[in-house]
Amino acid sequence: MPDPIIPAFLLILGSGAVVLMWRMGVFTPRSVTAWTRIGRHHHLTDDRPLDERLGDRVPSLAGFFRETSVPRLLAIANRRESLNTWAVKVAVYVLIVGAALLGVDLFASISSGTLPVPPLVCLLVAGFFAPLSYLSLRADARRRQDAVNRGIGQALSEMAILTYSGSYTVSGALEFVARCQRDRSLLNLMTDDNWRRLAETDDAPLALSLRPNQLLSTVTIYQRIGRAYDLLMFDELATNMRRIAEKGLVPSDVLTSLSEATGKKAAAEMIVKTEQSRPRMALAIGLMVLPLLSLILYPAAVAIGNAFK
Amino acid sequence: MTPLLFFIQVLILLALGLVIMVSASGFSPRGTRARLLEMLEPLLERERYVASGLGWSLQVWLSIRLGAFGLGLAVGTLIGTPVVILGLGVVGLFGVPWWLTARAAQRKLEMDRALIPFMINLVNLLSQGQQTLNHALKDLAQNPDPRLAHALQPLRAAESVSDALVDVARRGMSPMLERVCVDLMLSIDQTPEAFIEQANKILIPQYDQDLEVQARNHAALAGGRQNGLIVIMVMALAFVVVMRVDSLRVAYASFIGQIMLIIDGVMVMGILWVLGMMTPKTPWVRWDLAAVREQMRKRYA
Repeated sequence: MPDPIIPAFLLILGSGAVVLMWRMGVFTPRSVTAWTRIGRHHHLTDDRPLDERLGDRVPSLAGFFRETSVPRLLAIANRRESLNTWAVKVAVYVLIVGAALLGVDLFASISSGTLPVPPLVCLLVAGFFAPLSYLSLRADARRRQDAVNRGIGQALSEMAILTYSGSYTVSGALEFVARCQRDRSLLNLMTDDNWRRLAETDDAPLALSLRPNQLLSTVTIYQRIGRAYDLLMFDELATNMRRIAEKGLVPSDVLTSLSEATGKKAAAEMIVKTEQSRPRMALAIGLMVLPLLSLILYPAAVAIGNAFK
Repeated sequence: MTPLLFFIQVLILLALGLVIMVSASGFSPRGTRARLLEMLEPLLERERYVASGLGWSLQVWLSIRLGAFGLGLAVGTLIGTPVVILGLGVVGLFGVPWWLTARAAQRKLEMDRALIPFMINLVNLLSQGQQTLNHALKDLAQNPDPRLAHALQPLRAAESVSDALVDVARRGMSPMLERVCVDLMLSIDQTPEAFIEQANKILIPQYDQDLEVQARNHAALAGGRQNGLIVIMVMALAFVVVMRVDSLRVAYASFIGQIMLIIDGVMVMGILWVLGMMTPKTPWVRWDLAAVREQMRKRYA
């Protein structure tokens, strides 16, 4: 039977070359290339990245690209590195693990005379660290979102106290409580214009009426932060602040009601989580069968083995 | 070329690539150290929380943990095999604190429960119209509920109520007590009438809600702990039964048998970890009372 590795390698190489030629415009008619050049000069072409253009055509893909975008996750997780630095770090992790596994394999081969595991398997195992790093980044982003939501949700009654006498506005009170929490997630988001990393531009219809250099109101900023970072509490706060401004409501009353609603929601969520965890816990207790069987069956297996000897 | 030489070349190339990438990524040992300290801080905080829940200092609590570990090792050494020594050491290190943590959590919940009557008493004292918030707090601290006595001690002879509230939160180490202290600190310069209105309208209903969530949290944790106890009891029973039968015990006397015991122990610990992960918890915002005091001072500066 012929070795399939070389044809497969050639096929992959050929496919790569075809894709590269396509991206370089080798297959594009001259007239189209000329028009693209003129269009780009007059800003008539769509120069956005491929994922954004695809997202426009297929909305479900837009959601997928948004959720999985590494730069967005880096901004939400408040990591300072760029996409390239993150990629280099992941490559370093993969190399460290790969080198360590290959080293162990090498020493094992020196002592036993044969390779216990092919080197390719070591590299494949090391390669798993790339998706693990991505999952860890997602978990970090999720944790920060939860921390910010919690930071606002559980400080609403303190904000109500601060706004009660009228000496603080809602945004002033939010900044005050952010400075007083041990977890700095909320404060880091609000200070040093960190929120601009994602919420600087907004593709919502609201942004169309604003000039690029126009000063934004606090409500608009909070709304943008809520949308860009997927922070429910910023959205809620912005909605309530708009109500305060438009209807002339008393801030401390509005914040007290919001606090009550948030507390009730937390209690309801806790009930749901407790109910959901019951069958899972039963399953985890059922796993006890494994060590139990292992404890009892191992002596039996040894005895049977000895009997056959 | 021999395969060994080829292998070494691959390793050298990988190591070189690694060095270049590490230097390109801006790795620094100081950053790693700071991150390590950052990672250790929650562990220490947890130990402090349990110690304060039991009414002990951190040193006493850590000594008890080490003592339990040492006792486990000593008993294991008396019994014999390395796996039993290791197993009992692990029981001493993790089992005893696991059992005592339940008691600490119960005491904390009791302390949190006492906070609502404390606030109601405070409102009642202020309603009489003869005291300011500062005086009423000091008054209440003179004869407190026994569950709050330890935490409220700094208020008894305090010159500055703000400073005393920072100490109260530090002693109590409970998220709900921290919140009460923050609210009191924010209200300290308001008129008694304004505080009474706020307490009735905002604070006491909020604490009721917090306590409900806290109680649910506690119930969920207690349920998880009970499940864990069932797993431990069943496994311990099975272990004792197997070890009392000579023909079964012989199999575990060999090297592979000892490894099998370690694997069983790891599986049991894995089940306990899964149970812990599945127990629902509502995390709380932790307040930095010293920062609140600073912010309040800046407000008037």
